[in-house]
Amino acid sequence: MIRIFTFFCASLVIMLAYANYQGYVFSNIFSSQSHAAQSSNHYHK
Amino acid sequence: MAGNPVKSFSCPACGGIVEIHAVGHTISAVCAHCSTLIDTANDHFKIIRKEHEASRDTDIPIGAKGVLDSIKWEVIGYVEKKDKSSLSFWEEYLLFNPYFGFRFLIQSDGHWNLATITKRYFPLAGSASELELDGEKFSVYCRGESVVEYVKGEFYWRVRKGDEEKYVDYIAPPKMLSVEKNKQEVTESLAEYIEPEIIEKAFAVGLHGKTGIAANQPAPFAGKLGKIWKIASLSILAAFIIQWSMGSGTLVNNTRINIAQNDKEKNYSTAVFNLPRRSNLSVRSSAPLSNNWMELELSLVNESSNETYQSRQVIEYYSGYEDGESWSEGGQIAESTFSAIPEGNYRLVIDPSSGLLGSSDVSMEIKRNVPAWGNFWIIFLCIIVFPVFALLYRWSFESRRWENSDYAPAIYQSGESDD
Repeated sequence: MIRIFTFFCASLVIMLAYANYQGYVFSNIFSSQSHAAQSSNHYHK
Repeated sequence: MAGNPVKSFSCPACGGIVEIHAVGHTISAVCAHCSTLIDTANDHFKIIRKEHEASRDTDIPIGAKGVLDSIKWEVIGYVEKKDKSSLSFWEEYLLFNPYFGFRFLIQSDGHWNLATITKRYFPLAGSASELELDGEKFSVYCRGESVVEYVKGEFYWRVRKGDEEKYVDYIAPPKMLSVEKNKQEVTESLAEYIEPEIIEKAFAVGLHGKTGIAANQPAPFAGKLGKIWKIASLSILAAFIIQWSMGSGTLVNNTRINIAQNDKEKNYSTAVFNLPRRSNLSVRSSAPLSNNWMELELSLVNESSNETYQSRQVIEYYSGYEDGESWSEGGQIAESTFSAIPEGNYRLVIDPSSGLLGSSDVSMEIKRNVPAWGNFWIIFLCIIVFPVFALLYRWSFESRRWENSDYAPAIYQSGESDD
């Protein structure tokens, strides 16, 4: 049990380091940030 | 146990055959046929107490053999006792091995203990609230007076139905130190909790299930709780250092735009800025609004692919004076973060809407690689949930252990009163 918990904690810490380096924001999984590919330059007004 | 001599004789009461297994040790035996107690200290086999009671079946039969702790034991005696005040019952099986002597298997509410008589002397045994044995502290759990209800088999001491003695149990789970006093002697025994499955396997018997929590039943996470909290603390510290080392982010763009009421159809755009590697992007907008609101639809547009990432901000601030008190709600700042934006050149397109009558300046500060402390707190919660569960479960277990005791430590007392 101790080994499993140690592995679990280590995995979380590594995940945090990787997410921070890559710029992932966990809370945005549930937020309104959306992502869309545009086929035309719609915003050049 | 091969070669263990067995002595047999006829019961002086009923004539049935009585066998003695612990020859040279046994001084009293109960006839399996009529339950008469016989003096076996010598070959006269005098009747100590005559009975006409049919022998009862026991969970582990007399004569059963089993291996516990790599030693082969034979069950030679059985005593059933009752607490005089609580009326709770327990059973004591006497085990014998000619090379290792005697042990006791004690059963109460389906919980089992393997006990041995200690040769230690405890001057304050019985009256003390705490005893120490080999550096281990035993806390008093219960005091009471027992009476023998039923006897079967053979014994190295005189035991008969109705015998009474005072007892005190001290616990240091999974161990229990019991002090028993009668008119003749004081006996101290050290017991260790043993799972019923081990007994079932050793003696090839089926036993009743456990009920409740035994006085010295090992607690869940026993000996591991400290390690669990140590690992959790170190992991949280490591996570904090990782989060803290991110600094405060790098400014990539600073823009001020003026939004007028009649410009509702107009979009605003920042200058192009570069993200040198994949990172998050924070947009912090502030507007000196008063009793008004503003909504900003944000579109982060990749210059080469036109791929867009969208977000929305609402700035609203209201204040006033009512019933002699001033009040305010909302704020003049909004912040949102784009997650994991790939490297490249970007610009931010702002599509505003507001309840403005005039115009308002909006300052926008765009930073990359900002520390997302929400990430840390989510990891913190994931790490801490198991240690907290283990701690609460352990506390609940200990509370239930001590609810049957009059000597519960203050932390495990329920606080209920009898009045």
